[in-house]
Amino acid sequence: MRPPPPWQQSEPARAARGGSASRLCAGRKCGTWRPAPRSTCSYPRVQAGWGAGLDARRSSFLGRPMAEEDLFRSDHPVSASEDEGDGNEERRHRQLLEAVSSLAGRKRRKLTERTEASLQVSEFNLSCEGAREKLVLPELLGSIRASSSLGIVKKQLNRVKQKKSVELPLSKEESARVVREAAYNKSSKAIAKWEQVVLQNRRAEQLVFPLKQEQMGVAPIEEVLTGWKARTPLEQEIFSLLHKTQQPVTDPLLTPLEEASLRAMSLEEAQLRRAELQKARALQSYYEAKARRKKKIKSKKYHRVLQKGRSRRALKEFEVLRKLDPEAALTKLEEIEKSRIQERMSLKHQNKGKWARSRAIMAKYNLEDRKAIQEQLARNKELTQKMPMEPEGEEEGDMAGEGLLPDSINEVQPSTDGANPWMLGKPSSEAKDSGMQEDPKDPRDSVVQEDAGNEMSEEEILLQDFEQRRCTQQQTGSPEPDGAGEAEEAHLFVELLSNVQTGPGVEQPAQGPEEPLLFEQLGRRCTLEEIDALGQEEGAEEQERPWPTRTLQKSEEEGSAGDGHTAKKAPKQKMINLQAVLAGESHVIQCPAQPVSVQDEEEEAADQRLVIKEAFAGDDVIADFLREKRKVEQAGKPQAINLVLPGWGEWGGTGLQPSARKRKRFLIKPVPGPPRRDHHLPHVIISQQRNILAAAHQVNEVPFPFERRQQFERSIRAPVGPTWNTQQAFQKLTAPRILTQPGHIIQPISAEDASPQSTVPTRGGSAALAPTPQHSRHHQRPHKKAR
Amino acid sequence: MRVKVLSRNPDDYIRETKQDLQRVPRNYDPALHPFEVPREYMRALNATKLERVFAKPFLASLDGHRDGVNCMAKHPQSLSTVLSGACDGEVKIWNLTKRECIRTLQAHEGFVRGICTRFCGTSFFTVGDDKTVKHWKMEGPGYGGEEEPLHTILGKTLYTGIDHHWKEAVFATCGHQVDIWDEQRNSPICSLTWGVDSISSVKFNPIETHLLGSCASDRNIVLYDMRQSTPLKKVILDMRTNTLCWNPMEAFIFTSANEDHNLYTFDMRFLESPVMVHMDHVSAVLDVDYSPTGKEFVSASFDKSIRIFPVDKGRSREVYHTKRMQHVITVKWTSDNKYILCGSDEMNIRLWKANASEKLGVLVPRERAAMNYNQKLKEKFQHHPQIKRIARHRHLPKPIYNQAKELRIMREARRRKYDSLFVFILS
Repeated sequence: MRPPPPWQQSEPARAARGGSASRLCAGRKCGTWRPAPRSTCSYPRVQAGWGAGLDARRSSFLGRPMAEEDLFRSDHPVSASEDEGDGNEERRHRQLLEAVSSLAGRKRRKLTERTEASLQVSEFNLSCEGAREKLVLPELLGSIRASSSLGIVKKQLNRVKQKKSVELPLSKEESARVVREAAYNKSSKAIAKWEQVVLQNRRAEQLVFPLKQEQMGVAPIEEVLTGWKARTPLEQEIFSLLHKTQQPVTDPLLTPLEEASLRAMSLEEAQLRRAELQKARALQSYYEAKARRKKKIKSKKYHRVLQKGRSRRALKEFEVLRKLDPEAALTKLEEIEKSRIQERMSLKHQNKGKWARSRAIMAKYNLEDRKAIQEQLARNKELTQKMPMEPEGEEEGDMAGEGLLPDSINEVQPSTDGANPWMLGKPSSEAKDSGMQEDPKDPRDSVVQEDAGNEMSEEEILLQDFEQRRCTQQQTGSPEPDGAGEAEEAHLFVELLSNVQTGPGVEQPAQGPEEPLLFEQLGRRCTLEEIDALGQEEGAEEQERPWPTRTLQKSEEEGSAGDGHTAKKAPKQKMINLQAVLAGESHVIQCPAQPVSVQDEEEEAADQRLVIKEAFAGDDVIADFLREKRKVEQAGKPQAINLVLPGWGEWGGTGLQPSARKRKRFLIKPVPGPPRRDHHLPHVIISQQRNILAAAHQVNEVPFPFERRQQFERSIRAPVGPTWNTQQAFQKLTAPRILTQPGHIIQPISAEDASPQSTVPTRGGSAALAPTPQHSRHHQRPHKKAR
Repeated sequence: MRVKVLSRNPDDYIRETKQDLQRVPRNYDPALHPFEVPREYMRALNATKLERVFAKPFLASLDGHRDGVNCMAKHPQSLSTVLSGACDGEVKIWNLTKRECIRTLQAHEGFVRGICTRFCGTSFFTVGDDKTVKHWKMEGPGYGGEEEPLHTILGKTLYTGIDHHWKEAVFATCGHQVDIWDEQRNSPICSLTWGVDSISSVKFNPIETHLLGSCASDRNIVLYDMRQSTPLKKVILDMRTNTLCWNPMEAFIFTSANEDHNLYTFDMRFLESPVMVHMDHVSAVLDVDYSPTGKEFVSASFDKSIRIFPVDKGRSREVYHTKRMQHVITVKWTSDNKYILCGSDEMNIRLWKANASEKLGVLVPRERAAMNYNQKLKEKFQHHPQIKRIARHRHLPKPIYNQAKELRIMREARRRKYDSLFVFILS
C-alpha cells in the first residue's frame, strides 16, 4: 500500500513522518501504510490548530491521558481480538458492523487500533485517519466523564472553553479614528438639545434682544443708598440735618421718635381717644339728623330766607376775598361765570316748566300770575344774557338804567314794578353785586320764584342794599385809587367783574394811562375806530367774543375818558345795538324764513334744468353712450371663424349661394365667454382688456413661500396701515421681527436664556433644555451698557 | 317749540390732561377708505424709494495704522471699544464714539496674526509672526510708563490665530497644531492634531463653549472638543477655508469663508453637505462674522467689498464698497447689532451701518411706528416687480460687476453642459 498523497495526510501524520515514522508504522498492522477510509477512522480527531502554539500545547498536554484512557477502556470487542490473525474478511466485517451501528444513529466510537503492544504510547501515534475532521472538545470530555480524578482537568478545560483569545491591538490611526467617531457622536448628540430652541427662535414672530431682559421694578432704597455718599455741600447739609433729627437714612421706615410714639400709646390714652371718637361720631349724627330735619321743612319762605342769608354771606366773603386776594376772587368770578353759562345752556327759567305752563294758563285772568311769569322770563333773559354788557350797564345805571335792559323785557313789562331787579331804585345798605351772586344760585332753586310777592320784597331789600352801596361808593370814589398797584389790580378785577360797579366815571381818567400796560398781552390791539366799526356792524359777533374784546372796549372807554359823556356815547349806543340784535334774534327764530328760501332754491334749480335742457337740446348723450357701449360689447365678443376657402361653391358659376347647412358646417361658432362685468350696469362701461401700464406693477407668477395664487392674493389684500386698522391692530401688524435695544450688548444665547426652569445655570452639555420661549425674563443679570 | 340740537358727550372729545394726545375720531368703515391695496402699494413703492435714497451706510474711517489691518477684536463689555492689529506688529485700541485711537502699542515684530479679548474685557491676547503669544492689559500704562505685556509665551512654531474661551481662563492658538492654553501656564494644556498641515484659524463655539472649529490649509475644516481633547470630525472642501464663525444663537451652525468665492453654512451634526451655500462674492472670502442676533452675517472679501447675507438666503442682501477700500481682510459686526467694522489692506478701519438706510439716534414713537409700517409694507409687496427692482438695485464698481457677470456666464455654461450630458445619458 502506498501512503496517501500528502494532501490527504493529516497534520500529525505529516509532522511525524520525519523521526518517529518507524515507530508509528510499528504501531500499525504490518507496519505498512494503508489507506484509511474516512468512515473507519478510529482515532480521535485532533486537528484544530495543531501547529499553532497554544492549541498545540494544549493538545499535546491532553494527548497522552486520552490515549491511555482509550487503552484502559478497551471494552470494544475488536480490541480484544487484536492479536488474532489478520484477514481482510475480519476487517471487512468490522467495517460492516460499524456501518450498521452508525446507521442506527448511535454515536460512533473510534478506537485506536493497535496491532502490536508497545511500552510507550506516543502522542504521535495518534492516527491521522480523521484527517479532515476536527477534534471537538466535548468528544474529549465525554471520554473522561467517568473518572473523578480528572475533574480538575475537566474544569480547566471548561474554563479554557469559555475564554476567548485576545485580539491584536489596533494600530494608532485606527484607534484614533474610533475615539474620534465616538467623541463626535457624543458631542453631536449633546448639541442636538439646542434643536428645539433654535427652531423656536426661527419660527418666532418677534425676538427681543438682548435675551436677558432687565427686570423692571423699583429697587429697594437700601440698595440704591449703599453706594451713595453726600458730596455736594447741599447734600452734606441735608445729611447733617437728617442725622441731627435721627432720621434714618438707609432704612427710612420710621424715625425713633415715631417708633417711640407708636410704642407709647397706653391704655388710658387709647380709652380717651376712643371716647373722643365716640363723641365726635354722636355729634356728627346729631348734625346729620338736624340737617335732614331742616331739609324736610316745606316752607318756601323759610328756604328763601335761608337762601338769601347764604347768598349774603357769600357776597360778604367775596367782598373780603376781593380785598385780600384779587386772584382768588377772579377765579371765583370765573366759576360764577361758568355756572351762569351752564344755566344759559340748561335753558331753565323759561316758560317750559310745569309751573310756568300752569301759570301761563292762569295769566290771562290773574295779575299776580302774569307778574310771576314776567318775572320768570326776565330772570331768564338776565341769566342768558352775555356778560360783557353788564359793566357798562352798571356804569350807565344812573343815566340809562332802562336803556340797559333787554328790550324784550321792556316790551313785555313796560311798567317795571319790581320783577326786574335792575328796575328797582331803592337804596340798600349792602350787597353791591347781589345780582351777580344770585345768578348762579337761582337756577338751582327756581321753585323759589313761585311766590312772587314775597320774593319781591326780599329782592328789594337786597337791591336797596346794592343801590345804597353804589351811592356810597360814588361818594367815596375819589379816595379809592390811592395805591397805584392796588388800583391796577382792582381795576383788572373790576373789569372782569360783570355786575360789580367799577366806580364813578370821575374815577376813570385817573386810571386811564395805566391801561395799556395791563392789557398789552391779552389780545390784538385795535384802534378806537375799529372797535367802533365792530360794535356797530357786528354786534352779534362781538357778543360771542370772550374777554379780550370786552377789555378792549373798556380800554377804549378809559382812553377816551377825558371827555366823559361824549366818549361814553359810542359804547352806549353799541350796547343798545347789541341788545337789539339779541332781541331780534329771538324773533328771527320764529319767522319761517327757511322754507321760503328752500322753495326759492327749488324754483331756481328747475329754471337751471330748463336752461340746460335748452342749451343741449340737440345732442342725445344717453343714446350716444348706449351706442358706444354696444359697440364695445360687440368688439369684446369672440368672432366666428369662417373656414370657407375662396372659390368654394363657385364651381357652378358665380352668384350661387351654397346651402345654409353646408355653410354652417364651415363656420365655427365661438363659445360664449363669461358675461361682461358691466352686464347689469347700464351707465357703465368696464374695460376688460389687460392694462399694460398696470401689468408692469403686477406679479407674474406666484412667489416662493406661497403655493397657490389665492394665498398670495389674500396676503396682499389685507391692509396693514393705520387708515384701515385700529391703533392696536396696526401696532400688532407692523411689529418688527427683531427688536434690539440701542446701546445694549447682545450676548450669545446661553442655557439660562433657553430654559428658565433650570435653576442651576449649567455649563456644557449636561443641562436638559426644555422647549420654552426664549425671551424669558428670569435669571437677571446686571446689564452691560455701552461705555 | 322743541328745538333739536346736536348733543355730544364731552368725554368723547375733551382730553383729560394736557399731556394726552388729541383724540381724533375715526371711522373705519371700509367703504369710506377704498382702494386699500393700490394705496398701500403706492406707500410701499415710496418707502422703497426712500430707503434707497437714504441708504448711506458709510459712517467713518478710522485711520492711523501704518500697514494693512490684519485682525480685529471686539471688546466684550464696551460697545465703543475695538482693537485692531496691523501687519507691522502694531496694535491699536479705538474709541468708536470719538472715532479716534486711544492707545497704540508695538506688540510684535512682523504681522500681528491674531488678536482676541478676554471675556471680562480687562485684557487681551495677541499672536504674531515672532512666534510669541502676548497677554496685554486693556488699560494702558500710566504717563511715562512702558508698554509691556503682562505675560509673554515663546513658542516653538509660528502661531497664525488665537481665540479665547467664552467663559473660562483658557485660550486656543493655531499654527502647526491647535493648542489649548491655560492663562496661568507657559505650556499648552493639550495640543490637538489631525494631519500635519498648518491651521489658519481657530474659533470657540460661543454657546457650547468646549467646542472648537478650525480651518487648515489642506482645504479642510476640523472640529475639536476641548473636554475630550480630541478632534471630532473633518470636512474637506474643494478649496481652502480661510476662517469660520459660529452662530451665536444656534449652537450647531457655523459658516466658513472659502477661497472659492463662496461661504458655506454647516450644521455641525450633518457635515456631509452644507445647509446653505452663500454666493455673491467674486473673489476669495477672507473673513466672516455673525451678527449678535444670529440672523445675518457679514463677509469680507478679496474683491474689495463686504457683503451682508441673511443666514437662510443664498444671496447677499447688501454690498458695501468704497473707492478707496482695498482688499478687506477682517470684518466684525458690533455687539449691539447696529454697525459693521471692516479692516482692509490700505490701513483703514471703516465703520458702516448694518442697516444702510437706518436713521441713527433716538426715534420719536411716531417715527418708529412709521418706520415699522414702511418696513412691513416693503416686506408685503417685496415680490412686486417694480418694488423688487428698486430694492435690489445696487451700484457696483466696474471690476466687481464685470467679474460677477463673467462668473455668471461660466456658471451658466457649466450648467448647460451638465444638463446636456444628463439628457444624453438619459436618452
